[in-house]
Amino acid sequence: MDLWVITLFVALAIRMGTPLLLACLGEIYSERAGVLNLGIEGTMMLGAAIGFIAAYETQSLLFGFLSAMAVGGLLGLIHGVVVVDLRGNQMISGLAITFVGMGLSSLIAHSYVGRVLNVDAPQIRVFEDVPIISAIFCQNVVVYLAYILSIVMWFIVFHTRIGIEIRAVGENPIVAEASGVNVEKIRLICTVLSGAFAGLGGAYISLIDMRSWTDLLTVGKGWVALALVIVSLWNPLFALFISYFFGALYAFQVFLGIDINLAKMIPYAATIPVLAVASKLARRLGIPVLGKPYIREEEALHGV
Amino acid sequence: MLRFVIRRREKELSYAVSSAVAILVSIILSLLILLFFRINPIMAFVKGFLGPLITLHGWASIFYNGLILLLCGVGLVIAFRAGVWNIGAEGQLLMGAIAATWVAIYLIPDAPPLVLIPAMFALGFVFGGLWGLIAGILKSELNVNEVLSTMMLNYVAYQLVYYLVMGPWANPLTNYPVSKPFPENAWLLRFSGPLPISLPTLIIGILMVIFTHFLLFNTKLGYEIRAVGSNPDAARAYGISQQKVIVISMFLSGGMAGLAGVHAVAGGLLMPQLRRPEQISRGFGFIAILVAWLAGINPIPVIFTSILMGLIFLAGYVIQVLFARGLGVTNVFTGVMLLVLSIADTFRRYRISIEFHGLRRMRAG
Repeated sequence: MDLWVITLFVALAIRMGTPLLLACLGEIYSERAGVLNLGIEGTMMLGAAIGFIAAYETQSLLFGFLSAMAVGGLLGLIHGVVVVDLRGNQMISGLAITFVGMGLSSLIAHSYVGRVLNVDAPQIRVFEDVPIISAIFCQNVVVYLAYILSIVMWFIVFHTRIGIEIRAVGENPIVAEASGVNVEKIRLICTVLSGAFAGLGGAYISLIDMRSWTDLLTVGKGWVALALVIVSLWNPLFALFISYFFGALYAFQVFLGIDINLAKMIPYAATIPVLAVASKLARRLGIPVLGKPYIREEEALHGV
Repeated sequence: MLRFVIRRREKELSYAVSSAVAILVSIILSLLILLFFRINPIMAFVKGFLGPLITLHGWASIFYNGLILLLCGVGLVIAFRAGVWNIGAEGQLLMGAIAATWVAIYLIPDAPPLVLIPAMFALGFVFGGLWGLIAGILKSELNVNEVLSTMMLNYVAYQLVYYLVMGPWANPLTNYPVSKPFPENAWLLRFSGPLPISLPTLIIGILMVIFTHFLLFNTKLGYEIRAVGSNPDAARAYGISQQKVIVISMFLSGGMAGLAGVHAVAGGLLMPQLRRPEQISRGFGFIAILVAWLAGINPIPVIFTSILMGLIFLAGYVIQVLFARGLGVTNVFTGVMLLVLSIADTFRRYRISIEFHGLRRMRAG
């Protein structure tokens, strides 16, 4: 095959994979801290809607992305308060966030359906003449941001004190608390972070990938991102590669030339076996207290 | 710094009280949210919630929705009791709808109703059950998170229905993405009383509630399901097979959602035929989570909570159409209700107060 066709394919894979990566990175932090945020799908959607409205009205992509992160962080905060402070059910609360996000995005952006955003993101152009490599490095600044964030967030989790604290909070909250770590604060911050990143990922779809808003824009990308968190074994660097691998599966839809409705199944159907392999691996590495509320004053008594 | 503080109640509130408070709070909250979108909450309440109650068509729609939610919800009760988070009722329902279409149009289209309708439900159960079983086996054998696998299977089923109605099963007489209409012998509403409600589904629904109640509380398997769900470590210590419980509960749960799918395509006021997936379900599989949760994860109360959610779902839909705000109102309703319910259990057992800078200022509950 022509090298430049492969280059196009890789570019498309990166375009499709970047929102997955951004959402995945935030969720890695909240799951590392012991909070599962099933609200990613709805948070991405509301981020996409708010980001689009903000960018469309101000003609500023930066403002769009910042608004999306703010609203995503707010949804994360709601989930965090419900789960961490009020000991609500993580599954139910996460699903709630997804539905609230889906519903609000439809209502808020109702009158923006069909409008097109004509603002280009700044591009960084290096290795322009090298096939394949150029697809990776001739990219807009948000993709570069995603690359850099993967590396920075990997470094923070595994090589800094705050990273150790986050992991301690997720793996053994009782011990973490005893050694002077504020479990609730760290869990809350990480959950807000997962929301903000999901908002950012959603805004990437509406501001750069599609440049428009349609109802239910993310069509399951948030759920795929949640699966990729497990597949990446909660490692931001692995997440970088796996997200783009899944971006390639989305890109296949265009290149495969089979029935579009069958092609659209591919990323979802492929997630299941990949998840199966990763889950077997993760059995030993998984975060043990994931999904359980941390109840400080009674934990010592009842060993909840 | 503002934070929530919770303290244990001396006496826990009952499920009925906390559920009633949760429903009331979430309806008020949802209507207040509508205020932001310039939808008059009082008009919305009157037209959406009270409107359907005064017409025959309204009641028929409530029961049509309610029966779908009843079947999905009672199935979810089994899964949730087993500690399995099946959020794939939506996909399992669609597989049931596919099975019904296959039986009614391609397998035995000329059969009399007494053969055709039971066959549709039987195969609907099997299709939905197998769709659930996939996630069940993946969880029991490979430890795959069932929330994610069932969600992925939802999207696969969704695309499969799309593929069928636009491809091999498309009705050649129209450009709409629908299958051929079912033969008249497959129309569930042929069997209805003065109110157009599918009697076959009503009977099956009640039977499933009784079956589930009996299974959970009067059989050894039911005991094992509850043991694994409430305390997996203890269950393992007693030698109960967690694998068996997960697989069986996912099969039954999926099967009942499959039954709902048969009703969804064949039991409504619209022409029975396979349609676009969002026209078949519109999120019933997710709202059924509310049905099961509001019922305190018990089979009998599902009868009431499913009809209630049938009304709330209809209200959201009516408001959406009347105020022309596209999709979204029902999703906001569902989301707000889930959010309120997620803390209902805390509210039942704890007093919740808000503190600023360590000084208590506000108190609720």
